[in-house]
Amino acid sequence: MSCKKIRKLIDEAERPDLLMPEAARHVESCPACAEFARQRAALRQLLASSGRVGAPPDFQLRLKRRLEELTPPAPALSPLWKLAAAAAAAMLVIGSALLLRSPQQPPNRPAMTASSIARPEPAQIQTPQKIADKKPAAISKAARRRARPSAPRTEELDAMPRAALVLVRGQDVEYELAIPAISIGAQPIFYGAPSSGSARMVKTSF
Amino acid sequence: MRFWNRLARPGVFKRAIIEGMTIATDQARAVELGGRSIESASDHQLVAAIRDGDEAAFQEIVRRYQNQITNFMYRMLDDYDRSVELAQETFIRIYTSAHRYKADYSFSTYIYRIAANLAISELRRRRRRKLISLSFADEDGEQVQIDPPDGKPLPDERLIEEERRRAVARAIKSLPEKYRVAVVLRDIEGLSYEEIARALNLSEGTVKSRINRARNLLREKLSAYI
Repeated sequence: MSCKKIRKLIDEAERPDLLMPEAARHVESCPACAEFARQRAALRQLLASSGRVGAPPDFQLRLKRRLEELTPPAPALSPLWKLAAAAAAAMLVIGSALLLRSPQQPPNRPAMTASSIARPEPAQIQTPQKIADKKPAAISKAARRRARPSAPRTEELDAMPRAALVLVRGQDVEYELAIPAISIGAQPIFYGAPSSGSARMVKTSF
Repeated sequence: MRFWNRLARPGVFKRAIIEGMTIATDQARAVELGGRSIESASDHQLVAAIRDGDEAAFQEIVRRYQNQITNFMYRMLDDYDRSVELAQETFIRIYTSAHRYKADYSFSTYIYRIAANLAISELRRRRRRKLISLSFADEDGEQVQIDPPDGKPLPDERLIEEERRRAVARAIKSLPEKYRVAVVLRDIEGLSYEEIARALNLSEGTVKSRINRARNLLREKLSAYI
């Protein structure tokens, strides 16, 4: 093997002291290549031992600041905005249901109440069986506490204009009721009397 | 779910990462990572965790590589402050592109690729702007770098060592950037030829050729020390 190829092997060795057997044998017998191997080893040693610098002690802190500059803090949403966003989403859903289900009322019609809504034809809504009218259990104090203090009273709810019809379907009962506009976006608490085909809202969580 | 994702404020995820970086190092190391301690997790596992928003994993990656990358940058640029800035930029890119990371090869190759690209870009930018460093030519017309003296007398041994260190820095700095990056990665950072080839997106043959040329040039400039 020529000296040129041997020097290539010397240069590409992973470590200066780990020459291939063929290169090691040649170096022993060739002064020029031996000198080349010595100089290469000395150069690599010089470069490797030229001192290292490290990151400064505040490297991570400065990095953190740069990351903060890249991502400005997001403004916190006030509860009012969150409520508005939730109400807008609910109105979108209810409004879509209205468009699909019932025509718009003329503005000069009187407000509907739950009792004035005509019961559907039996063919449209089938009540599998009647259940005995029972006085419903009183709403628990905990449930009342969950309702906001400003929730309208029952009689106030009855007088409110209706905005949507809701079909309520349980294991043994099925009826529909109208809910007032205030319940849009809120979680209403109903008392239903299935035998009368109507139900009224007792409280809202709004 | 999509609706609430749109409502979620932008930057919340990133703010959580930044706020988490204030956790003390000891506490961060105590965080479990897939059943393994964070210190024993592999680099691939840490990057996967960073992708999932684990701030402790990002801290650990920085801890592991901050000195290496800073030293590499310093060898390339011979400017410590700028080296620190670009080392931080390397980690910022690791963080912002964690979702694109593929564990096809070692993470060290990946991070050195980013660092090398930043270093070469900086060198080219300086060349375009023709930044002049504080230097003058000696009797032989060679550019000599000036470091402001601190006024303290140094023992002979330290003077010799300091001069040798400066000579190596000057010699490396005199190399063309494509030779400089290859020889720094090989003879100073200790990467294998295969790793260097992947980092620089070159063939191993090209890497070996460039290292050979670099060493030949360095041997001429550092003959007094070899």
